[in-house]
Parts: sequence; structure tokens; C-alpha cells
Amino acid sequence: MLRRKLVALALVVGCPSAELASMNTASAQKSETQKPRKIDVEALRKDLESGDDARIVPALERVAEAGTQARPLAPQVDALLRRGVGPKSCVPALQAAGALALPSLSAALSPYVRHRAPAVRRAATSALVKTSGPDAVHALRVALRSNDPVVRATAASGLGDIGGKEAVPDLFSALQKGVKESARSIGQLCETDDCDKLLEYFATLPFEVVAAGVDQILFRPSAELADDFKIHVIERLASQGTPEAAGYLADVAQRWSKTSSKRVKKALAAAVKATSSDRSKSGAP
Amino acid sequence: MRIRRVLLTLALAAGGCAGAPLVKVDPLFSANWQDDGGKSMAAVQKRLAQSPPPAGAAVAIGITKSGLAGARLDGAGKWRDATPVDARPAVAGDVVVATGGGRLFALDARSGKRLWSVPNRGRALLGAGDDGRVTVATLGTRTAAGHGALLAIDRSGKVLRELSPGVELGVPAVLDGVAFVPWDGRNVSAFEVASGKEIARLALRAPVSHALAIGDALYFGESKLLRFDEAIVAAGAGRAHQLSLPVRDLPGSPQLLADGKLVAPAAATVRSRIQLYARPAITGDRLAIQSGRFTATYFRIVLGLDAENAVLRWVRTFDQDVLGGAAADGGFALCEASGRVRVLDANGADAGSVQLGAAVDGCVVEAGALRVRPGKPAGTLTDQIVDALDQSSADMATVQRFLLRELGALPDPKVTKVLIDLASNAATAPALLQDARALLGARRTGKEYMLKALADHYDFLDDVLRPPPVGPLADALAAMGVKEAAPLLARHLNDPANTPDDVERAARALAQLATTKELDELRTFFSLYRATADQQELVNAVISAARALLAVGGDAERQLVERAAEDPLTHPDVKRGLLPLVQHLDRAAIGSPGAG
Repeated sequence: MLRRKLVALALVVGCPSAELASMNTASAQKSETQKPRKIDVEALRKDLESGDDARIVPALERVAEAGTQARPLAPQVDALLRRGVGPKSCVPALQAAGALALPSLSAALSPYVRHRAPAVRRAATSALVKTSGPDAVHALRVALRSNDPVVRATAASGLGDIGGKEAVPDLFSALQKGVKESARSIGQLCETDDCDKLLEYFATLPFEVVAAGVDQILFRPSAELADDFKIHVIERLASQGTPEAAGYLADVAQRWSKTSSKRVKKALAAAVKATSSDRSKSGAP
Repeated sequence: MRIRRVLLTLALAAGGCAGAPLVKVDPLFSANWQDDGGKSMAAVQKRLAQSPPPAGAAVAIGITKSGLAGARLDGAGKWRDATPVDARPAVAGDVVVATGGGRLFALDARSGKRLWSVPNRGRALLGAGDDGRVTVATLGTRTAAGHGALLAIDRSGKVLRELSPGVELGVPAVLDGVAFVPWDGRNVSAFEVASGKEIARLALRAPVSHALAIGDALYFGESKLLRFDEAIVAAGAGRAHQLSLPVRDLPGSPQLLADGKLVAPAAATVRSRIQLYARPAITGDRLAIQSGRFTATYFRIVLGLDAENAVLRWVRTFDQDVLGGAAADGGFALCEASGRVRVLDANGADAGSVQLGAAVDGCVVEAGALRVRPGKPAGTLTDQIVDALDQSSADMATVQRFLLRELGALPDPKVTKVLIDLASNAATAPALLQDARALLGARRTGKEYMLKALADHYDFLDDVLRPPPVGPLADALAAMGVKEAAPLLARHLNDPANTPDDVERAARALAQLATTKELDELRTFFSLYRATADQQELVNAVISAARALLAVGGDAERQLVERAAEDPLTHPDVKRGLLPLVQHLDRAAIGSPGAG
């Protein structure tokens, strides 16, 4: 509970006009294991169309809590966003739109990525990662260029999750400028050439930043990235000869599923064996 | 009458120059003098009319750690003297006069050859004059006014006259054996060196601490220069030939001449770096500034100003501070701290240079009869100002603000680009930034640069880390009625990197310039902020956006605004602004043909 409150508080900071509204947004972040309550679509529709913040805010929170179950209310949420919402209902509306996870809502969410209030644009960026679709990819690419570091980081990690392959060049630019979340997304989206390019960043960026991207590369389905390429990645890592690379390969080998590629598993085992002396040098177990 | 004024300091005379005639100085420098309105001085002028001052050497004298370094401005030679000096030296005619090492000494200005040396009487040099045969030097102390001494010395080093009159002496001149000595800041006495008799006196209203030989005449003054010619007889009536520079508030408030009653330090001070240089000359019956230009220095920057109205005509930016200089016939000779003496023509063009051969702490320049030939033009005034504005040193801020105002007054479209660059550069000093923005908003030329600048936005990935000056550009483009600006301004409405002030001004411009093509951006902005505007600038921007929507939109936009005006969620201040707009629409609808 404390953690949830802190998250809500963090959203309020920097968006004075959002104030109490976002204090009540914890419902949007309830545990997935908790069974959602049934919703009264008609009653919520009336509340969302009431023009009264006192009714709109709880209704939006209810939509956010219900998630995809509340999709019949998507037109009302869309209309609210397009017409413009009040300071109290602004962040809840964005969270509700995100919870509905409909690409059709991305167009209404997109302008909020450029809102002047940090809490609003950050909530919008997070929501777009959930709604996805071409409009979301476009808006998140714009968000990568933002002057708000939180927005940039959210956009960078979100682009990988929503499959925005066309954003890979932008993600490399962002990575070069210190947006470390880009590495993971590049690993999720890259073709072999770009994946290889990511490996080159081991020379200039902290190991763990680039490894977050490499992890994505190694665990992507073979249909997306061939085993041969993954073996090539493993060999390049092993050739670094550093304790960090050795430790990382050992960790990947442990996580490698029994049902996954046996060729890659074999390559991992060989790499771990070859680099075990590096690990022992570092004092790793 | 103060006793100390009327007594000759016997001790000084006896100790300093054995054999020099002892003179009772009363009535020299006496307070009993009856002001004759310039008549006595006019008589002296008549007597000396056929004896113009010698042309004098055209030289620069640098003060170095180890002594003096001289160079002829015609490049014909340079010299060194190894005596460190304790006050700024003077160039008088063909001699350099200085104090240092307990001596008052003179060097040949062209060769550096030592002419004579006498004890300095425990004082430092105030100034000196020379008529080719006799040098008259005044000496003072840094601590006590009225303890000055005057020595007249011939070329052999013989002290012809020595006085310690107990008044505040200034910088003297000498013409055909008659010394002209400013004193107490208001008087100039003429006395014969040979007889020691005061033969004329001029009491002036304006401060006078210098008697100078410039060109073919003597001048008396400080902030103004009074020419010693036949019109001197009318000095009492204020009708003598007098030169005063046009009044202008220049950076650092430079002066033409420093207070000649004070000993100037050997090393250049801030005051020597902020200085006016002008050369008077008679044109017809009028005393004017030669070549129509005078200059003002401000450290490394040299401003060329119109002699009639002080309008800025050119600017030069040097590598190092200007420590000294002189106005010449047709130009200026200015001495940099590097030891380079640059000669500029009256239009600021380079017309040569000479090297002193060492970096200098201070510098004195005498133009003598130097005639500066026109040099190679040094670019447009715009380019010259831009060059000066490129100096990033903090001590340049004062002159840069001055130059920025000058730049803003130029109609050249390139000026607009310069102002945009300054206003968009993160390294621009805050004061300069505000000035640049204000001037940009008032521009009415250079719209192509404005449109190009507006196309930029903050862009983290492309390293555009400062948005363009949207507000001033919006003001200027709206004033010029540039419709092409509308889509660019509309995009800036929804860019959070712009300041609220910039957004407000962009929206105001759009109320005038918008077309249907900007409706999307206007709608988005209006919808996003009609309820969440939390600053007055944004409230105003939303109301301006509503104006634009109503002006170019259709029914959908009208409904959007009308609904917002009624919506309880709309910010109260926005609603107050929207109501008159909506009411105006209603009245228009009632009054339109077919209504009702």
C-alpha cells in the first residue's frame, strides 16, 4: 500500500493542478491477481458524460480498475480526452485510456505526451505503451525527443514493448545520449545488423546497460532471430574475456529453458566453460 | 593669499639645479590676478602667431616591465630604454619625458637616445610640453594635491626654471619660450621661461588641466578643448574656438582627457582602456573633428563615431585591450597590450601597423604629423558588430549591450538572423538575451530568417537544446502580417519546451494570422488547456486560440468554444475570457441577414 501511495504521490509532484486526482489512482495499479469487480457500464457512461469532475474522476478510476472489461466505455474516454479534461480528471483519464489498451485510443492520447504538466505527459506516455498501434509508435518517437527525461525513458522502453521497429535508429541516437532504456528496446526490435551494432556499445557503455539489450536478443524466438546469430552473439560476448561477460553468460545459461534451442544451449555451455577462468578471477561463485 | 603659493621652494631649487635663477613667483599663480576676459592671452597669441608648435614625432611608447619600448609609426625604427618608469610618460614634440629611478629624464622620441636627466624632486611626471628647444615638465605626487613642481629644461639638461607654486598643476605646453600651465583646474597661465614672468592668464568655466600641442595649434581643456588662436580674445564671452564632442551615452563613459592634475600610473588602468580619441582641426571658421570621426575604446572594442552626432559608423574588435592611442590626420593609431600598434583610417579600415616588440603594460601614442591613408574596407557595420558580439568575455557585456541596440536599429535583414542566433544560443548572457529578444520582437525585416528559426523545436536527439525565441518572432511576424508563419506558430503552441510567455505570444499572433490549416493544432491546444491552464500566460493563450478558432473555423469550432464557455470544468479565467467572444457571436448571429 505504501508503495502504491508513493507512486501516486510521485505523479502529483510537478503537476500541481492534478492534485488529489492522482492520489486516487491506485486502483489502476491493483494486483493482476485481484479479480476485477463487475462494472455497471450504463452508470459509468452517465458519470463520464456528466461534465462533473466529482463524478468523472471516480468513474475513470473504475474504468482503469476494470481494464479491458470496460472497453464499451472507450468512446466516452476518447471523447473526454479529445474535448479536454479538468485538472483533477486529467491523469485518471489517461490511466483509464491506457487500461483499456485499445490502439484506437492512441490518437486521443498522443497530444498529451506534449502537455506542459510533467505528470500529465508522463501518464500519457505510459498509457500509449499500453494502447500501442501506429499512432502510439509515432507519439513515442516524438516523446524520445522530449525535454523531459522521464518521458524519454518511458518512450524508449515502451517502443520495444509495442514493436516500433521503425524507431530503432532513434533508439540508437537516444542510447548514445544516455537514455539507457533504449538498449532493451533495441534488443527487442533489432535485425541482425542493428543487433550487431548494439554489441559494439559494450566498448563505450556500462556492461549492464548493453546486456539488457543482449538479453532480449538471446531470448527472442528463433523465428525472429536465427540460432546462428545468437551463437554469434554468445561467441562475441565470450571473446570479451571479462568477468562481467563470463558472469552474464553463466546467468543466461542457467535461465535457458529446456525447450529452447539445444544448439544455443550447447554454445552457451561452451562459452561458460571457456570463460570460467575469467569468472574465478573476479571471485564470482 | 596662501603663503605657500608665493614662496619659491628654495630647498628644491638649491638642491635640484645649481645655478638656476631664483624667481619670486608672486604674482605667478597669484590669486590676485584680475580676470581680463582673455585679453592678455590674446596678446600672447598675437605675439606667437607666427610660431606654430613643431610637428613632433609620430611614435608609440610602450611601458614594459623593464622600461620603455618606442616605435615610429612610419615603421622607420624602434628602440628600448631600460629605465623602469613610475608614471605614464609623455611625448612632447620630439622628446619622450618620463620619471623613474629617482630621475626626470628625456629621450629622443625617434631614436630613444637619452637627452638629459635630472633628479625628480621626489615626484612623478604629470605631463610635459616641448617647443623644440625647451621642455617644460610638471611633476606631482600621488598622495597630496598642490605639491606639484614645474621645471623648464633645455636640450643640454640645464634647468632654466623651477617652480613649486603650491597650486594643482596640470599638463603644460610650451611655445617659443612661453610656457602654458593649467592650474587649479580652471586657469591657464602663460609665463616666459626666460624671465619667469606671468604674461597672461585665462580663467575658464569648463575644467582645464591640459595644455596640448595638436597639429599646428595649442589647445587648453579636459572634456572640451579651447583652441589657442585669434579667437581666444573672445574666450570670456564664450566665443572662442571650442571643441566638445557630441553627447552620447557610451559604454563605460569614456573621456577625451583624464584629469591632468593627477599622476597617471605607468601601467594602463581601466580608464586608459575606456577612452575617447579625437583630433581637432579648423575647417573654415569652425573648429571641428578632423576626418569627421572620433573613436571610443572599450577594452578590445573600438567604436568609430560620427563627429556630428556620435552615430556609430564602424566597430573593430582587436585581439587584446587597447591601452593607449591617438587621433591622427585621417585616422587613428591604437596601441594593443600585445605591443602591436594598429593604424586605422577614419572609416575603421586597417591602414598599417607597427610592433613595439614586446607586450606592454601601458602605452602612449603621439600621432604628430602622421597622415593616415585610406585602408582596405573592413566589412559592413553589421558584420563588425557581429564580430564584437562573438566575444564571450564577461567584461564585454556593457559594450555588447550597446552594440546590440545599435544592431537592432539597422534595417539589414541579416541583423534579424544575428538576433535569432543570440536569442537561441544557450551561451548568451542573460542581459544580452533579454535585449536580443526585445529587439527581435521589434524587427520588421528578415522574415525568411524568422520562418526558418520557427521551424526548429527543442529536440533532444538532434541536440537542439534551446527552442527558438518563439514569442518575439511571433510578435514580429504578426506585425508584418506574414501568413506563412501560421503553421509554424501553431506547432509551437503544443510544444512544452516553449515558455508560457512564448506560447501566449504565439497564440496572440495566430489570432491574427491563422488559416484553416492550423485548426488541428489550435483545437488540440484549446482542448488541452482550456481546463488545465494554470498560469496567466496560458489562460491568455487559450483565449487567443479561441479567437483564432472562431475567426477561421466552422460550426465545429464554434461549438467547441461555446461548449467550453459553458463547461464547469473550464478554468474560470478562461471562461471569463470566452464569454465576450461567444456573446459577440450571438449578437452577430442575431444581426446577420436571415436571422430571427
